[in-house]
Amino acid sequence: MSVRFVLLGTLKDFCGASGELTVKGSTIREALESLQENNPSVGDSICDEHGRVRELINVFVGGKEIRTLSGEMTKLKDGEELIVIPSVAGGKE
Amino acid sequence: MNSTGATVLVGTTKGAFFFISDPGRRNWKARGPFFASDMGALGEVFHMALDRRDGGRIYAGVNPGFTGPAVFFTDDLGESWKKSSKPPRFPKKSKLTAKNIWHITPGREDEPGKVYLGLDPHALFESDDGGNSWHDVPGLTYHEDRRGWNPGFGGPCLHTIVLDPGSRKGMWVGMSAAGVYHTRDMEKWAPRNRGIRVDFAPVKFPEFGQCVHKFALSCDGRTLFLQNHGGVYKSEDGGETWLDISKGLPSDFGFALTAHPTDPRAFYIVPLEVPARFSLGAQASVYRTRDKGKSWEALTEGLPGNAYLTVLREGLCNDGLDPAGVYMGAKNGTIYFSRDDGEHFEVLAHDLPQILSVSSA
Repeated sequence: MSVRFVLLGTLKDFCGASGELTVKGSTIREALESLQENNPSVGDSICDEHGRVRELINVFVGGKEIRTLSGEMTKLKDGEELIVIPSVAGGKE
Repeated sequence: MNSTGATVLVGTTKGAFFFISDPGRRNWKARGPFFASDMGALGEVFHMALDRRDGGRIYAGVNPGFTGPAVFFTDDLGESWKKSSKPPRFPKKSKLTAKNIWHITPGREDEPGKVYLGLDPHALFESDDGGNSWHDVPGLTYHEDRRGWNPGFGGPCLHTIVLDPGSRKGMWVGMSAAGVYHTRDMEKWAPRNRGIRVDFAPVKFPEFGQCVHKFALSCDGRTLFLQNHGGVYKSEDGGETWLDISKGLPSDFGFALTAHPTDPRAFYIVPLEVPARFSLGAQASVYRTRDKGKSWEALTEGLPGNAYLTVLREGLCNDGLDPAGVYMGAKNGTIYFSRDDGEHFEVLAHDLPQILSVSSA
């Protein structure tokens, strides 16, 4: 099963102009593991060394942030789009 | 690298800058900002290091905040940067997560490619390939004292790395608030804090837990000078024992410290008001001793009055030249420098972002 990461904001700089990466996976965790394996630099930007999505990184599936779903165990459909957005920091310079 | 002038590396909350001088340190050229736009890292630069072993490679520890910390290096004064392919990350079994890079130190002359860095949370990492890939030093990562190490106000960081000239693999590290640790073999690490006071704890002289802010080795390699959270100290036995040399200082609190590059009896600190942590008596100043702390002199010529500067732990450095250039970077975004051992200061640059570090030789 293939899914597609779409990186927005400054994260886009890590993966070229399109900001899109296609990986294998039927859950968020599998997709992230695939991303870390095939594109370590991007994977490291999204996940820490324990495979957890970094605190200030947000991953959306079907318009919902995965922390409001089943987190990294959220199931994915074939061709699903995962939008990754770094937090926009307000209140700090 | 600039073989006859000075090269000063400045880390800020919004990227990094270089300042490069002519031989007389009269004329300066600025480069940067780096890591302030679209370089794949937008972030705070806590520290940079100039590695003269390898043609002048410069390392930068970049802390982007929302992604993990990264090491970048350049061999052409910032014309191009390369990001480490294997950044400093903990092994899974440690259950630790890399947060910020606090300090970078090149290895010894005869170990090309060896570079060390200090991290939050308390850890030492090393690279054997010129900063391209990093691994932790297990002896510290899994140290039996770790459960008793506390964070300083800036976090649980390893912020000081000093190579021990007395042993092939010897090294001291400084951690807040864990204290000074020493190793002879990079495997076994022992606390070296005897005599250093902990004002804020019930036990004033514990084996470890001191909030050391910065320390440095004299140019002859025989004396360690240390700025603690409270107290300035020296050790002449490799850190086995420390002697309080704060007498004569108007405040024993400060962060920054640098040893003189050619006089083994001299070093510099920046005492600060407590608890405000800004310039003493609203007069920006650097304090110097030339007799290992028996006496102190305030260096203020050219530094502003009616000033409330905060100088952080990496905010003071020297350039290794003779007479010594002394550089003080403050959170107000100004670098003050002296080209005559600190006798006279002037402004090198102002209106930069908040300065976190200055480093040179």
